[in-house]
Amino acid sequence: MNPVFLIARKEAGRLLLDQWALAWLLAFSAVLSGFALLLVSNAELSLLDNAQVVYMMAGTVMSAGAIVAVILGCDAFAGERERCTLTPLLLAPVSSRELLLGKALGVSAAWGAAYLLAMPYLWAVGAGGQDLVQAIVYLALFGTPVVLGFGCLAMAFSAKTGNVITSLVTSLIILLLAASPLLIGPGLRGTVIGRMFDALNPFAAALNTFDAVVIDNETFTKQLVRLTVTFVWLGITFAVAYCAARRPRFR
Amino acid sequence: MLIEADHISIELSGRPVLRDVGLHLNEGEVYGLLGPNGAGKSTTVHVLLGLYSRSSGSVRVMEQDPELRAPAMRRQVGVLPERAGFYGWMRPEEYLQWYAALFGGARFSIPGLLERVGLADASERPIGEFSRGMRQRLGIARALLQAPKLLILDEPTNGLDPRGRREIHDLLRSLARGQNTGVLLCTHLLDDVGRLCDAVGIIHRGRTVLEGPLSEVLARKGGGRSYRVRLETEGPPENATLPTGVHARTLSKRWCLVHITAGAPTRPSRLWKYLLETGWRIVEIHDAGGGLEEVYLKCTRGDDSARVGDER
Amino acid sequence: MMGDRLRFHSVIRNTGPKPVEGLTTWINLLEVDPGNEQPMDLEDWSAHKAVTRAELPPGKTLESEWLMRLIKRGVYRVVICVASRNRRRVFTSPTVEFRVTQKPVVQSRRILPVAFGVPLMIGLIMLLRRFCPYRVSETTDTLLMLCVAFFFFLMSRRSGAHPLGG
Repeated sequence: MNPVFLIARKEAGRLLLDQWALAWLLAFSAVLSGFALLLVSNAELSLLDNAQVVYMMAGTVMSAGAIVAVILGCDAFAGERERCTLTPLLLAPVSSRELLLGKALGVSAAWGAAYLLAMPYLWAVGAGGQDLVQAIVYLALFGTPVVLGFGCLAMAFSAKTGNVITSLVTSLIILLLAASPLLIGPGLRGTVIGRMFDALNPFAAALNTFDAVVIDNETFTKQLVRLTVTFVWLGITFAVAYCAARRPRFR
Repeated sequence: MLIEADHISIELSGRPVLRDVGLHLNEGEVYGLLGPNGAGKSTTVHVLLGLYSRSSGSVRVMEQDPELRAPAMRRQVGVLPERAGFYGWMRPEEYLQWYAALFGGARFSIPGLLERVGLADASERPIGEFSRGMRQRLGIARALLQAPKLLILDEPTNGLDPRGRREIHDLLRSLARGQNTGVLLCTHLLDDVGRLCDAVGIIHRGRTVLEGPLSEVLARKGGGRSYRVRLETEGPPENATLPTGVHARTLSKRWCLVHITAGAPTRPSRLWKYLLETGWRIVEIHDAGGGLEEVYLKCTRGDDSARVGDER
Repeated sequence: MMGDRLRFHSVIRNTGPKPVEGLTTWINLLEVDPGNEQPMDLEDWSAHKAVTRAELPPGKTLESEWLMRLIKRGVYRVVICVASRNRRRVFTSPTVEFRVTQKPVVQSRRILPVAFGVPLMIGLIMLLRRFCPYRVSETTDTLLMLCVAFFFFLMSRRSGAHPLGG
C-alpha cells in the first residue's frame, strides 16, 4: 500500500481508537449541541428564519471544524515529536512529501468525520425549510478548503516549531483573526483595507457565500470568486506546510 | 564497510555540535559508541541516517550518502532511537505490521519477532499499557523488522531488567556473528560495550577522541584493571617481587593499589594466590575499576583539544 | 407563513413627454399591526432592495421583481417608491397587504434527540474503548456508528420529514 494511505489510515484510525482524538470529536459535537439547544431554548432564537438558522449552524460547523483541524494539524508533527513517534516515521523510507500528504489526508478524515457528525444537527435545525441541501453542499464545497487550509497552516507551525503549545497558540490566533470579522468594526470594513481584508479572508469568503446562497438565494456563478479565494488559501497553506515539513524539528 | 564517516562537523542553530567525528564499522562487527551526555553521540547517529545535514566531512552508509539517498538506505538499516515512541492505542502486532508496511512488508514473521524479543505474551495488550522495558523490546523488534544489514541502537538496554539485558546481548551477538549484521551501539554502559563490542569509539565535546578495535584500544591506552587491597600489616612485605605487568602502590597505612596492565599474562585469581604465597597478608580486595572505564575516564577528562591528534 | 418567500412585481412607466434621468426605485415594508406600526429594516427580509436606471425614455417601462423572505409574524404592507434626479417628488405605488403567520422554525422534537444523542454516542465509544480497549475493533465502532445513523433515519421517517429537507 502507498505510504501516503498508510499514514492517512493510521491518522484516521486514531479518530476511532484513541481517547484523545475521540475527546475532540466529543467537544465538537458538544459545541454543536450547545448551539442547537440555545436555538430551541431561547424564545427569540427559536423564531428565527429557517435560512438564518441553517446559515448560523453551517458557520458554526465550519468554525468548530477549523478548530479541530488546527488541533490535529498541531499534533501532526509536534505531537508526534513530543511522543517520540516522529523519529521512527522519519526513519522509514517515506519522503517528506508523502508524510505531509498522509498527515493532510488524516486531517481531511477528521474534517470528514466532523462534517458527518454535523449532518444530524443541520437536519435538526433546518429540516422544516428549503435551504438544507444548499447548506450541506456549500458547506462541503467552501468549508473543506477553509478547514483544510487551517489544518495545513497548523501543520506548518507544528513542523517548524516542534512544540504543540506554540503552534496551537499561533494557529488559533490566526484562526480567530480570520473568523472574527467583528474585530474590525463596520467603519473599518468599509475602508479599502477593510474591504481587502474581507476579500482575501477565506473564512469571510465562505461565510459570505453561506449568507448569499442560503439566505439570499444567489447563484453558484456569483460565488466563483469566493471559491477561488478559499482554494488559493488551501494552495498557499499547503505550500507553506510542504516547505516546513521538508526538515521538521524532531529532537 | 557498512559505515565510513570521517571528519564530520555540524552546526545546529548556529552552534557547533560535532567538530570532527569519525566512525568506521565493518560487517558482522559490534561497535560501541561512547561519550558523556551531550557529547554528540545521538547527533552523530542522526547524521549517519541523513536526518541532519553535515557542514563538512564525508559519510557513506552501506556505500551510499545518507543525505542523497536516505529512503533507499533506510530500507537496509534498523534503528532504535534514543527514546522509542509508539502509538499507544495500537497492539504491538498491529503496530509492527503497520510500520513494516511503510517499508513494503516485514521480512520476519511478526509473531516470531515478538517472541524473539520476549513480547509474545503481551501481543494482545495495547502498547499504551507497556512498561519502559517492554517498549524498549518492542523498539528492538521494530529495528529488526527488515532483517537489516546494519543495526543502529541508541541505549538498547535502557530500562531492561538484568535478564532482559542478557537476552538482548545474546540477540545482538547472534545477529552479528550469525547473520553478519553490523551493530552500532550508542551507550553509557561500559559493561555492555565490554561484553559485546569488537570496536569502540569515544566522542567527547563533538570530537572522536579515540577509535579502534577494543583489544587494541585497551592495550594501547594501558587499560588494565586496578584493585584496592587491605593488608593486616603496614604495607606489603619488603623485597616483594611482582609478576610481569603487575604494579603495586601504597595508598595509606594498610591499603595499597594493585594494578594489572592490559595484556598482562596474570589473571587476578592467580595473582592473589601468588601474593598470599609470597607473604602478603591480605584481608580484603576491592575492584577499583580500570579497563575500558579507565580509558573512558582518561579520554573524557578535562580539555580534549590537545588529545585529539594524539589518539586518532 | 414564516420562512416562505413572496415575489412582488412592479412596473414603472414614463408617461411624460421627456426622458426621466437618474431613476431610483426601492421597496419599503411597513408593519401595520395595531399598536406596533413601524417601517421594517429589510436586512433579513430581502437582498434585493433597490433598482437604478440612468434614463427611462418617454413611454418606456421598467419592470422589476422583488423577492422577499417572510421573517416575522404580523401584518405588513409593501410599497414601491420611485424618485428621479431632477424631480423633488417621490412617486409611490399602491400598497399590498399580507399577513405572516408564526411557525416555530426550530423544533425541539428534532433537536433534543440529536443534541443529546450524538455526544452520548461518542461518549459510549470512548467508554467502550476505555474499559475493553483491545476487544472493541474498528469494525465494532463503525457498526455502532451505522446503528446510530439508522436510528436517526428511523426517527426522521417517524416524524414524516426527510432528513435532507422538505
